[in-house]
Amino acid sequence: MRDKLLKNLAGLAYNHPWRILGLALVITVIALALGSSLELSMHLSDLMPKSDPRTIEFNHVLEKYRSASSIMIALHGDEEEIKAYAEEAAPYIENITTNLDNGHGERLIKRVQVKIDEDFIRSHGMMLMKTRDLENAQDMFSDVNLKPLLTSINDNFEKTYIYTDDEEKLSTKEKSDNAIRYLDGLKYWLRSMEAYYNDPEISSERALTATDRLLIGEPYALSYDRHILLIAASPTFSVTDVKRSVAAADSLDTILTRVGQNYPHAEYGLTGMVAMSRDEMVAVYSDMNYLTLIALVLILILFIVSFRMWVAPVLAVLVLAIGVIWTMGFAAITVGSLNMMTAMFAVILVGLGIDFAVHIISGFVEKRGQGAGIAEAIEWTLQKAGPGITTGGMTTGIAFLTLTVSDSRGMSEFGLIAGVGIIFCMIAALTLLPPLLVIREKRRAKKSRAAVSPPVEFRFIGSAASGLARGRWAVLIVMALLTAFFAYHTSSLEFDYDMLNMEPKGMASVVWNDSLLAAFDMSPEYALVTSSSLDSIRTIVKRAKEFPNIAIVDAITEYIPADEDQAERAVIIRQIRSELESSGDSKPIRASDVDPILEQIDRLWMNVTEMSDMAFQAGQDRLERKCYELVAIPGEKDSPDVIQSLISNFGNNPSTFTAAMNRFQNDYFSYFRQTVLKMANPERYTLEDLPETITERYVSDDGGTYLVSMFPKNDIWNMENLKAFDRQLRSISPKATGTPCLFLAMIEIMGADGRRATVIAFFTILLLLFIDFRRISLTLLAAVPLLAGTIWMSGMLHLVGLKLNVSNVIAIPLILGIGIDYGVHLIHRYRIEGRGKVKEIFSSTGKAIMISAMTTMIGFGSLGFMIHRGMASMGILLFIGVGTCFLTAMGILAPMFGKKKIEDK
Amino acid sequence: MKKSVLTAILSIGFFLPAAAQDMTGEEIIQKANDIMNPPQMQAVMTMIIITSSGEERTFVYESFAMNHGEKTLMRYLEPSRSRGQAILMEDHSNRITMYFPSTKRVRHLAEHARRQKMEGSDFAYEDMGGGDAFITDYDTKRLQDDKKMDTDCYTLELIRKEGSDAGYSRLLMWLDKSNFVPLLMDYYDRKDPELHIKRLFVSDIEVIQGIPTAKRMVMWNMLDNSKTTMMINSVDYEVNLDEDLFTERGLRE
Repeated sequence: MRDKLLKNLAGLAYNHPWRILGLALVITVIALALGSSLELSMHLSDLMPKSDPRTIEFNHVLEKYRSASSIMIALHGDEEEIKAYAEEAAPYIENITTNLDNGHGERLIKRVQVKIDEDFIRSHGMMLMKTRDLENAQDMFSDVNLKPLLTSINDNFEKTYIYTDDEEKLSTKEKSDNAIRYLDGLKYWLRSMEAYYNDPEISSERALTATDRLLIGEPYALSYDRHILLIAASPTFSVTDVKRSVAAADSLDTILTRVGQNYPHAEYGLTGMVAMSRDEMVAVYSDMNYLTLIALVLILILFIVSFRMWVAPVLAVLVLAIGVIWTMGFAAITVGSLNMMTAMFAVILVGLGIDFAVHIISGFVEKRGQGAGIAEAIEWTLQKAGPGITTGGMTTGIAFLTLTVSDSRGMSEFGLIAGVGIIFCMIAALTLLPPLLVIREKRRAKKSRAAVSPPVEFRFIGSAASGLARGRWAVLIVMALLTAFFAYHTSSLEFDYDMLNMEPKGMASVVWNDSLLAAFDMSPEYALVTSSSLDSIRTIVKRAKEFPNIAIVDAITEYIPADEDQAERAVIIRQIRSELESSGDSKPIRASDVDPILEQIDRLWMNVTEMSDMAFQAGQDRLERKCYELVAIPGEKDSPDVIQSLISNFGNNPSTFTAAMNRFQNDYFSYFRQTVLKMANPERYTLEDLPETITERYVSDDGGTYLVSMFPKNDIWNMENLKAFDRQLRSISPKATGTPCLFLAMIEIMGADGRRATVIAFFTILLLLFIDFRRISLTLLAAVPLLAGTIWMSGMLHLVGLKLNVSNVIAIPLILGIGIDYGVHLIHRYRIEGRGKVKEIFSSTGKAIMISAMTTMIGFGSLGFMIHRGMASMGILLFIGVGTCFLTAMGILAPMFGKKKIEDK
Repeated sequence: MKKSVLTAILSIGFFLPAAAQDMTGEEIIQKANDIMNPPQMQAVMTMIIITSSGEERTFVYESFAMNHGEKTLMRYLEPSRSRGQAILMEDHSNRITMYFPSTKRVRHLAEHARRQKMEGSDFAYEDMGGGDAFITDYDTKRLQDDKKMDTDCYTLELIRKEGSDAGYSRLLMWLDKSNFVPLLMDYYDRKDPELHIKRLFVSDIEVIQGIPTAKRMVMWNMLDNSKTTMMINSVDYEVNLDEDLFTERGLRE
């Protein structure tokens, strides 16, 4: 039936070439119109099964909470410079629209957060303190004259950090960070005392700032070393909106570059999902375009060199392009958009789809070179090469299509598009290339040109194969030993779980991602949990804070304590207010107060020293280093001891110290009292009283649910850390989602998909081969080189230092579909030529499969140059795999063909 | 009386395996417990922790225990940064006192501090203090015997008794049948008995002064993905310790 079909096809191509091409043109125009609507989306969730609960929850969060798509802007430089940079850039960022040039168009940024909501802290600061911390701090506010204040500060320090019976102690990041902030405030306070001591003319502003730093803390999101400042820009759109994501990130680049000219020593960077998504897309788009072009040109050159003609290869590329366009149209109808995996389909089809044309042109040129007429050459070509093309095309296509049984969308859609695409390319080659060749040859005949010149014969392949056949046993033993050698190395092949290793190398948003991890001791990738009740959010937050590995838990409940907590705190707050109101005015500092004040400073030194001891023992490096900004590093003679220097300095001139401290106290006293009184607001407040700057970060757009963000302390791209983080999240809420959860799920799902698809693809190929050959012996003969080639490929990957990853693991089932073709074509020819015709088989079909392997390797090899390392690794894997499958097909089948006719056995 | 991992693996006597073939879980843990607490003990140990920057930090300290682990004193020897710093655990870690040589001050921790991580390690104070908590705080059930680290083991499940304030809701323990050394222990979250939080690996067992002594312990915190290694450099079970050592004065020495 197949032979009859191919014969009819040859007849149609010869008799009605224009009709066939006309029909193809109509289909191609329709497909092109459909394909032009294809979009590219680079989100992790696009690869996940739609029914996966983590994906559903993730998409739900992205849709319902704009804050989940926040763009993180990092400014790096001197502290004062980056603060000014942030303040100047913020209004411009907030006004970004879809049309940056004239400011018109749709707004893209809803709000920019440069620092914490100070007004709310000033009005409700004490209600936000934990009851225990409030109790510890109670005395601190009862009398804010310098001597009692320093005493209270020490009492509070010891209760909170040194003699604490708080179960969290300093072992959590939150506690450690609070201690660091507290030390920062104290340091500024002590430095202010010194400034007053050294400068009698100092501005009173210094005392006010010292008060704010002690009571409210640092309002900017600064890194531990205070050289990186983070700004969060909440978009008006979801990160799933590709066009707006790109527009917003581009506009931010423009604004930050422009404003940055005023701050030449500062630099900026964008990270977060929006920025990473944009950067990936830009890289992939530009790479895909030029690499596809380069692959096409290289293939064209190979054709021209191999076939000594340029028109036929151009026709082959044209036919291939038509196959790709049909596939684009199909993709637009079936999946609508391309993702990280399906984006590669064009390059893969270029590499694979050209093979069909190779066999057709090779056969046609060979026959015409022997003096055959056009009709005869076309019929002969389709009769001889057609079965191999159809079997090869169908096995490859169906092997790809087996991926559609995958649970993950990425793999399933890739299987569908690549599988159908390869079959489309095969159909395009079989139906369109013969009429194009016929038209071309008829025109040449009209112009009385000679028939095509004989092609380059590649005799060396035939000679090499004959040599292999002659030493068949030695060759087979060597092949077996090589396979064992590569199998040994396959066992050492590792899997790289680091998702960032798949991102484009040097991609700005990834570099900044790493910088933030180091600067803030937390991963910028976070997990998300939602709930419809505040009580449930409180339970989630409490549980999450029990895990030291969760660096930050960010939730609305941090701003709105439970009613019972508010009632409990209100009692203490009222006492604080009452004591402060009755404490009277500032009391002058006398000479007799100097020693008690210095004793309190010395007590502070002891507290900080002990804190540094505990931080050292507990391995809390950040806190330990912060302590050394105030006290000397033990064992280091040259290490400055700021507090002891102050004590010594102040003690040298008690009268100057007394005068200076009186000025300092006079300047801060009223402001300190007023600030504390304002913060000591005992009134109960509800969610409705919170400002929108806070609620919009945590409350869904419809007001129905609340969002908790949990930032891991460790790098979650390390697999062990990721698994540990996920275990914590599952114990907090089974609904937890976010990039870390999706990535882990993707690895699990795609790992299972890959194994299943590989097994299904292999057995499907065996079945198709059996249907084609009707002989178990021939079926196995085709499968053995494939298996050996796959083992060689895996071993070679290890030898060249490559690892498997989420991107390239998909290529293993693919290589089964691709690698089988060489054996199929050779065995088909062997059945025609018969035993002992090794040289003939390999000189003709061997040449075709070699060109075919080279074109495929060019196609995949070009992927290896992509800066998206995941895609590049897939290209390299396929490049190696195609090469090894070709070599094993040669090395195993040539000796086998030299034996007694296999189907006779 | 509380029972600690440390004393459990430090001091376990020999038992005749044949005698234990038909023992219940309670009998196995009781037998093990009877020999877990040597009257006195002095050791020099090494502890390796991972700091928040991911670097290894090694501490060497001397440890003293008396009254079957009711009192324990740990004093740091190395690095020089920590030398002289000491921790006194009394009443099976229910009273914890710390001494800072840099300021010459002493601090007292509250009772429930025993559940806290000890000095940046993955061991809690209650893992370090002596006692027989395995009996007083947990109900024991014997599970199917198992093979761990190529060794035939008794498998025990310990469920926290109602009203106990022990730091773990559940423990799984694999004890070497030949000597009752717990080779492997799984710790479950204080609140969630299904949440596996830590695993202790015990190895390098040597018989010292007639007592099988595990010279290496690794506690893996599965949630934090962190590990703490403890090694015994030397140990003496026949030492005579003075009660004065376990006082604030002893702490300061």
